[in-house]
Amino acid sequence: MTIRALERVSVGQNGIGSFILQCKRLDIHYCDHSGSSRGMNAFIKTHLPNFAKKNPAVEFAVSPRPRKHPVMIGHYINGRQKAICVANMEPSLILKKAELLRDASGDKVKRVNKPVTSINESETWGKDAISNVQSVLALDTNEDSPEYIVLLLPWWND
Amino acid sequence: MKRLRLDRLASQLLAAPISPAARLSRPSRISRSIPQACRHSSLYNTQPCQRRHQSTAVEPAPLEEELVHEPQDDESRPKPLRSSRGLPSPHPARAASSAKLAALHARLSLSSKIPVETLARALVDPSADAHPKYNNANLAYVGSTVLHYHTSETLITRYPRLPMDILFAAMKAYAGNPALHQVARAWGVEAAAAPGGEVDPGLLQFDPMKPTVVMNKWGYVRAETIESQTFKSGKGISGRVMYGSNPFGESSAAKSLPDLDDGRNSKTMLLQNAPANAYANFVRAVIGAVHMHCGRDAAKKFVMSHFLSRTLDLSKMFEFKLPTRELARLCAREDFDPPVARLESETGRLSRTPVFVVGIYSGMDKLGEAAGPDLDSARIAAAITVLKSWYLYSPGQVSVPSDTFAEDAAPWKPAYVDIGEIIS
Repeated sequence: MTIRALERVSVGQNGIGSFILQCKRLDIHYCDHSGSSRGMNAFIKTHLPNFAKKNPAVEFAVSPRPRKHPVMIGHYINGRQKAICVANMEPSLILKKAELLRDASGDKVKRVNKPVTSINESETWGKDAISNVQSVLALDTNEDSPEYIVLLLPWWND
Repeated sequence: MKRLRLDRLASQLLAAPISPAARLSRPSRISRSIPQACRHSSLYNTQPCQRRHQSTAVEPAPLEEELVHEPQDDESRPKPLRSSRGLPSPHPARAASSAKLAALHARLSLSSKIPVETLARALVDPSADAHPKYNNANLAYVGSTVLHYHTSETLITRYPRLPMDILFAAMKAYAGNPALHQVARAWGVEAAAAPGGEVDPGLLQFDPMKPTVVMNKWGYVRAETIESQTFKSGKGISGRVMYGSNPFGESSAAKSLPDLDDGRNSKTMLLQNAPANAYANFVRAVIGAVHMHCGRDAAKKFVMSHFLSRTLDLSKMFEFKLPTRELARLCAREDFDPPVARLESETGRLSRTPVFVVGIYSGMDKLGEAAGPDLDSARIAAAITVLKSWYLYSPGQVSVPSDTFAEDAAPWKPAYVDIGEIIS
């Protein structure tokens, strides 16, 4: 047996083959009495039932948080959370914030300054210095004069 | 030829109850395999009627009367009337009111044909609830067969020259426990801190300290398999093909079988990663549920989109012992001219970092090239490149056998599969 297998695990990328919405839970906290919650209370009454119906993949948890500003907290599949304080906001603005939380991936905000991000190895620079040198050498090779040096002839008899 | 009624076969499987693994009261992480469980199924054949058209969803209504007919020696679910707090897993009636479960159902874009009760059942591992009508063992078995079938047919038709070792490893990379564990985590499935009747039905329930079920290739164990385990044979690749008890050519699960009866706890009986096994069984059970409720085509589509769409670089799974000899044998087998290694270019021979580029030629054909820091390693690297390009030949997108299952399918054109390894 001259071949041995090295164990690896396949890598999944969300959106290739299937898409899983990354926001799995949205906590909505309000206060009955504070003025800063007025917009949130209106949002819960007017917009939320429709919004929840349109997003069945998200679990909505509405709970009071007395004497505190209203808050929306998104919980994501990667285990992170994202919280937005929606004090003194209009219901339509709160709806926009809810959509923002729903569409977020849950990752930390990162600067993306490359046009392509890929899990594939770069052809020229990925492997090591030698393969890079190899491609440079391949360019230098003169195709017209194939004067190859025979290295070892009977090596397949070992 | 008579068409195989797969759905009917599978419903028989669902109807055949598996004896509760948790009847073993030893608090050890014992892996218990399906075949062993099936052997003891006569315990449950004392039930008065066996429904032919059983659904995988557990209906809440007949629950109470079925509990009355249960054998008396089953301690796991003793009395019909009691609070849900005493049940080993949540009552099926609570599935409809679980927000987590509904969200999971929608997140996976499952068809409305799959009831949430079935999804709730898929989340109950046999280590949490040993009763076969309330855990996911049967669904997971159906799902694992569907998953392994599609994985193997895709791999074999797409890479017809893969050596058996690499094929087993690739199967494991796509459909093994580690991959399915990752899939379940990516689906946003959370585990309950401890299983019980009071937890939310939308949480995965398993107990790492209780016996569970490990998926095997067969519904039974061949006598020669146990024999081969006893005499330590079947370690070579042919032995793994013949006697391996799972689709990845491993036999560790079957090894525990003879030991279970005499009650000794050995190292092979321990399940290495109980959470990964529970998560993986949940994923398999979801595939089984899709197969049972939405049919074969939907199950294939589900497997393709969630598992076979994952990325796996097969060229990084090879480790060669004798690449030069293997290449020489390959050329002899395929009637190519014997391979010749030639130095194509070099730089810095006397420097600290020399680079040699070696090409391998068979007659006038160049088979491959590679670079290395000395002549010998460059030659070996070039031979490995050639062998990989041979083994990883792919005819592109070709049809698989399951394409012919459709009613209006074109007749099957046999796929090209290579004769086998060069040196075995």
